[in-house]
Amino acid sequence: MQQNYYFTNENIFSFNSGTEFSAINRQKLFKKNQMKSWIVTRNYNQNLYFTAQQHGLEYDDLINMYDYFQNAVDVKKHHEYLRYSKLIDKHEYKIVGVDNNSSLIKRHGRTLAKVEIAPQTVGEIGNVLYYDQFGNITSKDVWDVRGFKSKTEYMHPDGHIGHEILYDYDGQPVMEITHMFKNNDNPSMFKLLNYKGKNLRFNDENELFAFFLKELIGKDHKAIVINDRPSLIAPVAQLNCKKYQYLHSIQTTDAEMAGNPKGTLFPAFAPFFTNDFQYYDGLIVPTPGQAKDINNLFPNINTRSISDIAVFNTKLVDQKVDNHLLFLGRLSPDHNLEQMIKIVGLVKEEIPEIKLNLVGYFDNPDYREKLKKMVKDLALEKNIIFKPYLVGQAKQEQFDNAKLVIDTSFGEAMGMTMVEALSNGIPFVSYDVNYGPRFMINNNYNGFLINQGDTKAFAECLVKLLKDDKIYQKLSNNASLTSKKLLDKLIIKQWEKI
Amino acid sequence: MNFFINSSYNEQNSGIEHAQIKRSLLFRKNKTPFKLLFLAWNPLLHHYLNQKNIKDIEILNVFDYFQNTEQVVSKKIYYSDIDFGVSNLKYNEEKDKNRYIVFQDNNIVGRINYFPKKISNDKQVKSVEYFDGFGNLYRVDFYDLRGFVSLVQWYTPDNKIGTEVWYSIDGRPVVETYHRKNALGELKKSGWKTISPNGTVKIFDTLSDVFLQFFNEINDKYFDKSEPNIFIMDRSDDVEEQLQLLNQPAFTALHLHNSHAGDAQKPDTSILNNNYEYSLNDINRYDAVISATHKQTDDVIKRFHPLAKTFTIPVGVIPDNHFNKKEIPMNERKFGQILVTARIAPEKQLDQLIRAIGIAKKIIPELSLDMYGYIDHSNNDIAMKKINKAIDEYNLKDCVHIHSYVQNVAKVQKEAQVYGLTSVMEGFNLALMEAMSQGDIGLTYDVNYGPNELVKDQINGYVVDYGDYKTMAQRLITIFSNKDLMDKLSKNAYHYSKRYSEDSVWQDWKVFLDFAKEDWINHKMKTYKPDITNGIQKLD
Repeated sequence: MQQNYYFTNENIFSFNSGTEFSAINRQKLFKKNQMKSWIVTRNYNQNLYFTAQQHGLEYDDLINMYDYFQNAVDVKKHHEYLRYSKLIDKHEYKIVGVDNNSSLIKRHGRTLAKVEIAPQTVGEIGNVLYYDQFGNITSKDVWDVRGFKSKTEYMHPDGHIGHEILYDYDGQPVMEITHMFKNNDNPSMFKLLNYKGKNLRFNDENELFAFFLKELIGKDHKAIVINDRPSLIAPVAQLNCKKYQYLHSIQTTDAEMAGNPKGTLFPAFAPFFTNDFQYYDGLIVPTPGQAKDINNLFPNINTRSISDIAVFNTKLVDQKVDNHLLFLGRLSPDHNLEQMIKIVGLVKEEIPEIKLNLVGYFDNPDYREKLKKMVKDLALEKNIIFKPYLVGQAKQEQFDNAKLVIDTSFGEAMGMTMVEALSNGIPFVSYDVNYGPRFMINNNYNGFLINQGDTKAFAECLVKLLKDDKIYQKLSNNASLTSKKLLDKLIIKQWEKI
Repeated sequence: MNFFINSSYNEQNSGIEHAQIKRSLLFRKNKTPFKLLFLAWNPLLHHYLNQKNIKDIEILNVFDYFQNTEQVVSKKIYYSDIDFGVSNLKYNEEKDKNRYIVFQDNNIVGRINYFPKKISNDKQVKSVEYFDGFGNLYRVDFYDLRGFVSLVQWYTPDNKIGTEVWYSIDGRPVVETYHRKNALGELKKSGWKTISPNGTVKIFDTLSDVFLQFFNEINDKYFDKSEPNIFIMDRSDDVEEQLQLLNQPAFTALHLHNSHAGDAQKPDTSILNNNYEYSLNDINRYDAVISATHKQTDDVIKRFHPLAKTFTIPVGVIPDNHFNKKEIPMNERKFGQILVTARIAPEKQLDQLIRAIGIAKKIIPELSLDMYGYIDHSNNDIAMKKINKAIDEYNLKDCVHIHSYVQNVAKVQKEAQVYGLTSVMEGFNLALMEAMSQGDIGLTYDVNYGPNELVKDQINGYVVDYGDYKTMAQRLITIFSNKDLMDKLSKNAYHYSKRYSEDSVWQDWKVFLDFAKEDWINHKMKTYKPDITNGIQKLD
């Protein structure tokens, strides 16, 4: 029987972590194999249409909860240019451009509003912030990037968000959200207005999401839900259909303890292992190693492994740039990037022209300052280049140029960058840690696994690889070969079995 | 379109509102379109005006305009119609407070307040207070009696009103105002916004600016090159500034309903009546000024030399059918009966009328006085204290009767012989006009404006010097000592009220309307340059 697959997630961003990439990759995999599937997201996202495009998805690959209640799932893109919009009466107001990202609305010399231009557009309305006579923001219109006013946020007198009204495409209010916890922007109520003729009040977003899922999926007898987010375990659990939890991370705080009963479970997953698993048909993890460990520790849970990334094609690029290293991912302490910087410093002693591109977004500014200072202190400014988050062709170019891809993380459930490196025929060097690296990398075959924390050995290994073209060629060929065990036609077979 | 501008209309109103209603009926009769235009939000506006036979289409309220609720099909909203979005509710009625408290289990979900009996016997919903799942009061809805949510107050976590939003009939936000702390830390309205049906947003500092937007929009909406929109300021607050700033031409008029001078006894020199100070300073920025009496028109011209055209149009209108009714001769009335229907307030000085009666009663013992009117208790009840003192002084307890309200005013007017007035000043005095139209002989101080024009000395009554209640007493003696004189004065009272017949007053309006139209076509439209509409849309 042809099933309908729903991949539940919080959001799809412009900047994503591996979890979203995995869901996007899976969506493409299912689509390629003519299996009906959707990424179902909970969070409000005015730029979802744009984000979908950015990731090579069609908008109907996604179903967002707010879109659904706003009756805007099928709305097509329309260019709402500020300068031509009915929003502004130009007989009375002046539109004063500030830069490509914003314009001010002025009258008699006073600024009445600021229009933030929608990202990646030329002059289309993104957000409109309205000011009072003292310059306070009183309210804010949030426009969907498809060109319609999607919601209005009203601020409390203290500047915190007060209540929100969400509209359908025709401007009819369909939902209200209130924020009544003092000094806290979390909503205290979600209310659907005149939904199928009735108002419905919810105390939090997941309560609403559970209702949404029942409306969307409740009557679909062919539904299978794959939940990608631990935060959504509870609302998804309320569905009666077949459903699986996908675990994109290692279940314990210390990756080395993942197979040990004394390991500490991540608080976000703990409820699943102790209680919520009973509502699910099973748990899916990316590697057989992780599945084995969980089966040992939690025999009551039906755990299996299916890679969270499928490789659609592999390639070998001949013209690598010498001595070019690449790390691509979230620039966060999880990846121990201080150690990576130290390693580059050691390599530099042998190869002065060594270059590392650190590509990705920092999830906190303190960490960014810390790393930048470290690079400066070690005089590595010419060797370590920070680059912003990249997708699509720009990202591919990074792989095209990289000689080696490296990671200093102490644990990866799979490791998106590792898989991408291999499929691009680039050897991968990382610490010898659970689960992805140990699953995919064999020493001196397609890369190297270094004892965790041994930066000296890591540096020596890199120097060796960069200097010895013969070994490099062998590893590069094998990298490409290895990635074939994640080829899409193999992965889809595993999915078909659930 | 002709707009008669006021702030509101309520259960109790003053002479200005009465004058507006009379004018409205006159315009309707003469098939001349008009709208009574109100600036204040009032969920009972249509209720009170409908009771006075004013139709919805003749009412234009600012908020109604933005809410698209000028004309709606009324429906009654009951407590059971309120959808809290929560099930298994329990309703506890508190009849003494006209409300229901709504619970789910033991948690409060809302309070539903209903209109009191004097407004509705059906417990129609007046307002609803909403609580969230954590017990926070987050919003209060106020219903128009016609059955829709009109105003919503959104609350802050510390239980203050944060944002107020007026919604259209189909639930879209159309007018908004916000509260923010000012430099003194006080929470005040800090800004306004309107959202038009096609999505145009306008931002304002004050409600006055919202009114200007409204005036511009209706001026555009009803704009007609062959006929002007006429705006008549019956109350000028929040109108007088705006009407000078309209984007497109209009014909604007200030209607004086009271003395323009603060001291009506000194119309040429005393400081201006504060209500008219701004609009009189700017009088030439309007097109016309209307007074209810010739005397006031003359005084306005004499004092200001305005270039704005002056008109005299009485504010009182006596319906046609009144003149078909049989006149009641004096001998069929109660001898010695004196009447006054007025607010019992300090500026009416009714104690002086009582003193005049006290003096005259020594000669004409049959004199008696009936007073009808709400008592103004201001200034520590000074009005009533003075009245009681006069009654005691002249020992008039048995012949002065004070009534708060009269159901059938025509009946008491027909029973009386003299209508007495001792006010400091008047704007016109509809009550005196009506009493004299029932044959009551007018007796008044010589005060501006109205009494000394309604009463023609020695013809349909007597006008005595201001404050001279002793002479007023002499006139009472004169009237009640001579039955022929009484008959003559009463007949003339009937006769001269024809000055205020529908036809007569309409003729005065016609002069005004014709002037406005002539001015429109021959002057205003000759130099009119409308905004462009071509070439500004997206063309490529």
